[in-house]
Amino acid sequence: MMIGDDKFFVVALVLAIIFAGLAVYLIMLDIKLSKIEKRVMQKNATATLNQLAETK
Amino acid sequence: MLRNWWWKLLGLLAIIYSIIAGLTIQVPKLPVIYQTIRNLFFHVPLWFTMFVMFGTSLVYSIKYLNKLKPGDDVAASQSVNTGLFFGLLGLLTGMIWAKNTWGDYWTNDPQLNGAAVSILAYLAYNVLRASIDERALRARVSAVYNIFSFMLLVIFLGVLPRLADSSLHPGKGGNSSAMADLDPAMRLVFYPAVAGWIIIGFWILEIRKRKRKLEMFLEQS
Repeated sequence: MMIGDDKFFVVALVLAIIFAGLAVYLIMLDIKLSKIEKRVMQKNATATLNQLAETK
Repeated sequence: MLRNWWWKLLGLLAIIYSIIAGLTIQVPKLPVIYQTIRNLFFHVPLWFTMFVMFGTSLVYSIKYLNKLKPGDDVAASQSVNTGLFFGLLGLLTGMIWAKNTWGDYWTNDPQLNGAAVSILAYLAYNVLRASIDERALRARVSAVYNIFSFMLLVIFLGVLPRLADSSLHPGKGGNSSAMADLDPAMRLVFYPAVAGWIIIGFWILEIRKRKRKLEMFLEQS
């Protein structure tokens, strides 16, 4: 019997696809959260600048 | 911290158990499928999770139509997207399995075509949402559409494949009932696998809702 005759590689492939899908999903989520973070930072920065301008 | 985390850890443990046990237990030796019978523990739970996510979305949509709370609209749309993620993974893994047992990535099977139609119906949900600018109107129209698409899902995945003359899927038309035939040892792995993936689905949904609420908070101020 050759290696792979029992089709075990299909199970491995299916597990790999699920893992890859979760990985892609995590990466996308990470990118989106980074964008949100950046906008929060910008907002914070403008708010601080405005405060500074007012106090002068 | 443990108060918010125990159910997530439970889900992870169930999946880890299902992978270890699923790869090592004795399974019935059947022609053509051979070892791929183990995919039952990995491919099928993805569809169960999709179904539960779309069901959750239906509940939120009905809640929205009752009380018109924007939070329910966010939850409904995020549930649909979480369900789509699992449906897509289910399609991909199913195609690999089909290629190596039925001989083709896509066969003219009522279950396969039903899954394709239902997933398209839920993709259309997103198209519909993107086409309406006014927030309250978008929420209401998409909630009504969501009820309709859940009907499609039940008909195309739950009813029509069972009525069909023949299906390659176990438990569907012309085939004996898969659940009644399932090997008892395999049940002990299959049910925890389904539970684990459903829990992970709710975890992903929770993260998606939090992300969407942050985005909305930034948009309004």
